[in-house]
Amino acid sequence: MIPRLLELTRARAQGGDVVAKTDETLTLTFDRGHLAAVGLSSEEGVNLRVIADGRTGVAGTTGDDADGMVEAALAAARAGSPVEFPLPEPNPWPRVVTRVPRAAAATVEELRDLGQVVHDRLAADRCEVDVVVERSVGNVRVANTTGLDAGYDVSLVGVLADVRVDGRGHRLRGEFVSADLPAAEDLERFVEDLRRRVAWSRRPADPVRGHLPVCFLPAAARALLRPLRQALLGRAAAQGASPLSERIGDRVFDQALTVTDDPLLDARPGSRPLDDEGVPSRPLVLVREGVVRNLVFDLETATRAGARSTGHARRTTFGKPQVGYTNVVVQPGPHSLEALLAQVGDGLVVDGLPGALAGQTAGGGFLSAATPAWRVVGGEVVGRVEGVTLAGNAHQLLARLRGVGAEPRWVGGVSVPALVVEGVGVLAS
Amino acid sequence: MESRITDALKASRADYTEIRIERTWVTTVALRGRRLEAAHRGVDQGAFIRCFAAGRGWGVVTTTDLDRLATAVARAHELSLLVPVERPITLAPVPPHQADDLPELEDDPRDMALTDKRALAERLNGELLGLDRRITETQFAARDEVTERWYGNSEGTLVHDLRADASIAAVAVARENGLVERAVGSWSARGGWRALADAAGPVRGLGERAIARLGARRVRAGTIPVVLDPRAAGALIHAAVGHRCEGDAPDALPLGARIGSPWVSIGDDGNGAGLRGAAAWDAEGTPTQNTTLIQAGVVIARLHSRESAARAGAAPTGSARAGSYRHVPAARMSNLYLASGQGTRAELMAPIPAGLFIADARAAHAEGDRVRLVAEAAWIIRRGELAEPVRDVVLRGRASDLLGAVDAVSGDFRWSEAAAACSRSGCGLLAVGDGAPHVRLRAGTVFAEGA
Repeated sequence: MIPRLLELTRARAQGGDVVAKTDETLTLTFDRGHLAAVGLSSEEGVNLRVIADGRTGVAGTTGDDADGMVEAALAAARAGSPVEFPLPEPNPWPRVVTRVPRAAAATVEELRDLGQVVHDRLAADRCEVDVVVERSVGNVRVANTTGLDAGYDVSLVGVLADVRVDGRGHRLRGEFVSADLPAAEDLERFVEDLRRRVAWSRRPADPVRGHLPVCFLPAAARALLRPLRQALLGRAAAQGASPLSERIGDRVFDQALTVTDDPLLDARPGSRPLDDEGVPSRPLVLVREGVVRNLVFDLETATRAGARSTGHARRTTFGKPQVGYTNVVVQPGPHSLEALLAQVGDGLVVDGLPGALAGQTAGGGFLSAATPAWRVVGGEVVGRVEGVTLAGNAHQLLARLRGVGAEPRWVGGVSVPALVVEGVGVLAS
Repeated sequence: MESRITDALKASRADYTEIRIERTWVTTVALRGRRLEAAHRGVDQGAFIRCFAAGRGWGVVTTTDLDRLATAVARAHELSLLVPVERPITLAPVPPHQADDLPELEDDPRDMALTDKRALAERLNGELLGLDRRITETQFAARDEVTERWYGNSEGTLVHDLRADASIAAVAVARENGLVERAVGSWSARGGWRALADAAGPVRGLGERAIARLGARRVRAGTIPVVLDPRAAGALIHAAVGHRCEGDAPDALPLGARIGSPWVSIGDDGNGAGLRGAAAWDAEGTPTQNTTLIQAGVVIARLHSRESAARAGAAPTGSARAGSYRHVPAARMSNLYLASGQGTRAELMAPIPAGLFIADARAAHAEGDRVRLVAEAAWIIRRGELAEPVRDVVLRGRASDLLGAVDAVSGDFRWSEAAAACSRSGCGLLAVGDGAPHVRLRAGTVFAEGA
């Protein structure tokens, strides 16, 4: 379909670009150790942007009508916004592993066995364990009317475990995501992380309130970084909604904080040799030793900000390109978990901030339930606490890190260690 | 398309097979201030196929390749064979039927030029930006959607329908003396754009609400009489009891339970002409209906798919809904309503010496039995009359306490025109309607958000 789309676009418009993605995902859902459902979804989608009479229009489809697609994009262009940028020329792109053959070839039976092993390793007294295993294979192709035509294959494996302790609302989640199947040591780490938290959750502890030191485990640390990630998006800057866009070069965060976006890590889910507008990928430092260094842009937001695309366009079948990260990596520090708990002394360990993941948060302010959470006394975890809410400003909290863990984990496209922050506002309901 | 479905069903070796094909034409125009953010057109099409072999679980395949349905059916059968089950799947009976519901679209959004949609969006957005110098920022989205759907199963049911919707969503930001306030609203209509051409009044009302909030003080926490307008009442019942009337919900309300005062009667109308969440058939081909769920405060029925009905020993209510061909159907709400009572809003407010009036909800959530409704706008009621506006109002409490406190329901029932959507984990986003009259709570616990 792509050659036909480009041919029609050349004939009827000044130019255009197209992204075609295929995806085939197998999902195995386990209910207490038994395979409960198997689903297969296969999807092929194309997103076309045309430039006609100085305006851009976008159309998308999961169908195969190339003529209708170009017609739709031209109709959108007649109502569209003026073009402000040239499309990228063909460029050499870097090498990165985005597909691992043994993951792509894994059978349903192998994936079922993987789910069962994870369940059996986690099964314990008074615990209900639900597991989901997913495996995707697909292809991405990016092409434009200036001669660019690139493509790469992808694979993705995800293992999600949901553990309920004592049949209560206390839920613990673990996730493994990679382009490859988990190696033995990956599974070991996955299981140990969850088992440690199950052990912590066995006993309830008294709630606390006040301004306390808090250890944010990776899932919570990722939530704490969300305002930073939002504030460094070129779109937020173009809309004047970012408190960081005017502070490039300023030390805004703690010296211990270094954050990079790296699309060239082998076998990570966000990795790719080029972005969805055809701009070659490269690692980009967002924050170095507390100093804000770079925003991320696609072609449109870069033009609006008077900058160059950093290769951060992401396109789905429907809608126009959006700016987004690939793999965000927070540089680990020197501290073991024991050392981090000792730094907390009397306070909390938190592993999730669900409320901090909603809405526009570039300003940094948040008010969120902290769940799961545990009480720390004398540097030791003494039990789970329920009904805790954290309030504060994430940018300010990241400016006063007391400790940075040595063992990062991947959570939803972000590799982050545990972080200890002093003086976090803790409300108890 | 019908013959493709029947051919693929005939070739199936499973004990039960169903195929649902959807094709959706979408256009969107998005503005931010005076800047056009996006103009887009899309066609989304695909098939949902599921089947089971005797004594096995569901095998589900979704695909965008409509030319190879028989292959997809065979794959779904293979997947089903991999799933052992303790209890075999049973589906409550629905007599096989063949029909179509293809209304003549007199105002088909596909026939309207995108440039005209952009002009309409710019005109309505201009009403907001031109309203007052304190409106400094707006976001405006106009979207329409036409969906054609075919459904067939191995029992012989084959149905085909078509629907069209247009909707707008707007955010107005007002600023003055360092204060920033937002108002959010949406409107939708079945059929096409003509019905929304006159939305200028409501859109201006949104801007006026953002400005009114600038002067408002924060509400003082307390337990006081509360009157909810129809939109707020609709949002409250959706969060408080709607999801727990869904037959496959893990925390479904037991039949016979008292959940509200005798003034509270709630139903779900999947069939009402022109309603946002209505269709002739659900995603399993079952005819939709109007189901009374709560009568005079007592739970008397739940919403069911064929599978949840069989488990509960009840009849299916035509409530199996799916966000798209990518999603498995589940028992979901369509148009939830609180039945009308008597009298007017003024009569509800008259006996209140000091209370609170809540107009529309920005959000309403439930966690188990605990409900939280964030008001979109609110005013103090003093000596039975509306007085000054207040902001950041949250109403919260146990569902049974809030609905148990209802001591009057007015006779001015109306369906909401909001472009509401409801999501549940794994089931996709569904267009839903809600309807209610004004409702009075003897006492409701309110507090200021963020306090």
